[in-house]
Amino acid sequence: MRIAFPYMGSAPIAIEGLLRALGAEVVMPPKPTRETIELGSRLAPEMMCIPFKITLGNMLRCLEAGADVLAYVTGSWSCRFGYYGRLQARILRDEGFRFRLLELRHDHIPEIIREVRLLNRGRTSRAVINGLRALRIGWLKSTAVEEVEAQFRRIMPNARDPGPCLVLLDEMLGEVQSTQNPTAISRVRQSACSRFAAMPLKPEARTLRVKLVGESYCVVEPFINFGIIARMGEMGVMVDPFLTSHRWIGFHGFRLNKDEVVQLRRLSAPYWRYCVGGEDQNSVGHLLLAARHGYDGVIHVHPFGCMPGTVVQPTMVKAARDHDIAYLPLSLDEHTSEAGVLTRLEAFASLLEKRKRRHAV
Amino acid sequence: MSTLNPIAPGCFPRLIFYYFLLARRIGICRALHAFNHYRLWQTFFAELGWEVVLSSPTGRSTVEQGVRLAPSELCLPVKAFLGHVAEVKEQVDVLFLPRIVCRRVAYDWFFGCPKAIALPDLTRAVFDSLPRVVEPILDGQLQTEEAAFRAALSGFGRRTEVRRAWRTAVLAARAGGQRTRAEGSPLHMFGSTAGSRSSSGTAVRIGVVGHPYLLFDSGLSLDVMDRLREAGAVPVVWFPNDVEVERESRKETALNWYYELELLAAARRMLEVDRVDGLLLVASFACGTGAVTNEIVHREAVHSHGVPTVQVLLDEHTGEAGLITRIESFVDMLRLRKR
Repeated sequence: MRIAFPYMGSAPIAIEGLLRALGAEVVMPPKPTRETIELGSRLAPEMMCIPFKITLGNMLRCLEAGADVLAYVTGSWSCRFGYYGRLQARILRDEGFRFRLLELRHDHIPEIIREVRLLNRGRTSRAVINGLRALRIGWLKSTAVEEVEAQFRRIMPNARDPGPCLVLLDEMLGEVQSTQNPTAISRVRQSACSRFAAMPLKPEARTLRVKLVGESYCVVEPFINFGIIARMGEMGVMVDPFLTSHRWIGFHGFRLNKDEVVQLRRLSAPYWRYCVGGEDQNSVGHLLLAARHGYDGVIHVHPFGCMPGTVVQPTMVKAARDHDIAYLPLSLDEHTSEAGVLTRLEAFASLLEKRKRRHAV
Repeated sequence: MSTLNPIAPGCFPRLIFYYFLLARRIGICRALHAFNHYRLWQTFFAELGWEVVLSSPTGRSTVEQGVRLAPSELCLPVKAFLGHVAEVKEQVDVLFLPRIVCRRVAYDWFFGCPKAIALPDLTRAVFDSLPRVVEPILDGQLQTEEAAFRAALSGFGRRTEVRRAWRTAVLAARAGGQRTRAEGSPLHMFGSTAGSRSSSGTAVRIGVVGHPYLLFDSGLSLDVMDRLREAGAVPVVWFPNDVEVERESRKETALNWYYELELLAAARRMLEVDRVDGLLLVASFACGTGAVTNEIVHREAVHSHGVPTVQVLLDEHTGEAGLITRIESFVDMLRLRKR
């Protein structure tokens, strides 16, 4: 079984580790490029949101590389994300590819367990041991990636030269990805703080803090948001995403951290009563949290035509106005130009600078 | 009169009593799901003794008003809805804003589109001042529809009459649904008459798939049905009944959006029973659910039935000339094909 899954941010590092420890052969999805978007846009319905098009292009590449099982998180709720698996499978089959669709949803758990047993040649004891080992490795890799990225986000805005920071990030993520040895992964995680701290810093360290909220794919995948974290870091702005790939796997996949969900729901209740998908309720809640924690601004990213992402916009504007926090919405799709987004980010950064000076006086 | 003097001692409880007895004017927008449920809502509030104010048909100014208020990426019907709210909110003292979340069909839950679920939140964020709002939360996982209406009315007094009003309304809605299916148009609910449905044997028959609030709102759809008739084709629409919707919900291609399920059932009926010559898929630009539905219908029609389809996307910039040209060429193509 050669398994493939959609690509998102640095989540594939942990998922690949987990699947390999389970005994599956993984076709690692290639990082998205311009070509992936074009491939996906050609096959996808025109009005579909951009994550669909990119993941479709990605899966096409994986199938060409010889994958025969596609794994998707699917479900049935109000957002289109739940139909990605079924619709993409239909499109790819019409293109003439043959594969098996593995839907990861809560009512398919017996099927998933059967799949894991099959991987271990039907031996339950071996499947259980391998399963536990896989979960451990997945968890370790995910936390290591999270730690490395957190250090990167912390140091980058203050670094004298952003170039080496980016190089170090890539290097450390590569180290996590290439090893399956638990101690080696832990070592990378522990060294993250000291290795980033060795970067030469700017003399004056006064940074602006911005919260990044919005639809999960746009927040997590640097290709579609034009590397907003690194770009803002170069301008001396620290961007704190409300969601990272680690949190996406743990927090959304297995529904850990219920307290925070409850807190966000309570916070956003005056503005937003029902969660309809696309992280709308979390976005409103995190905007209010950011205002409370003294962030300088909030950037809201969503794919063009994202149903929850667009319908939540007036609410975000109103909440930002009520709590006096700067707010920038960015709508992203295959036609969004990098230059346009960069200009808006630069203008936003200088606006934050000005606001901060005004508040300081 | 002295009893109504608010300064007189001891009159406050009596004032509250009079307040609940007052007949109210409730505003319902002629947009979105009013095209499915207006008969139900109108009968219900009329039975309670309220005066129902329906906003006027969508016009150029309604759309312009909505476009000014809404974020640019929203779909046309929602923008028009906001235009209707702007029109009706000055004339009434209560506004009706339903929140359509989910309902059960057979063994599964079927949802409204995110915009339908978030409609009250959106409206509150867009308008600074609104009259009091009746907001039934139609969430089958939480409560029945009757309980939703009862809860939404809890601040308005007159609780005991809800049950009777609801029963009458459900019966009226059922009769209204049958009439909609018979006439092929939901416009009778608003008191207008449907156009004649003449069909000659040789004319090209085109199935039209689209949400009722788009197809039958002439201010939004640019009278797409009349355009088809003018081009010499016979438009076919179908309103599926509960049995058909339930059958559709068991299919592999079923979508967990209730109103999309209706469209899928309608398209299946047109392809398998009516044997139409072509399908016209009408959706609004930036309609998220439409993108999925139309893709599924298109693949089903082309790959399984060999029926050509054309998709028309409507937004506030859609020009009449462009629409007419596309429809005419589609009809001509089908005519050649039939021959």
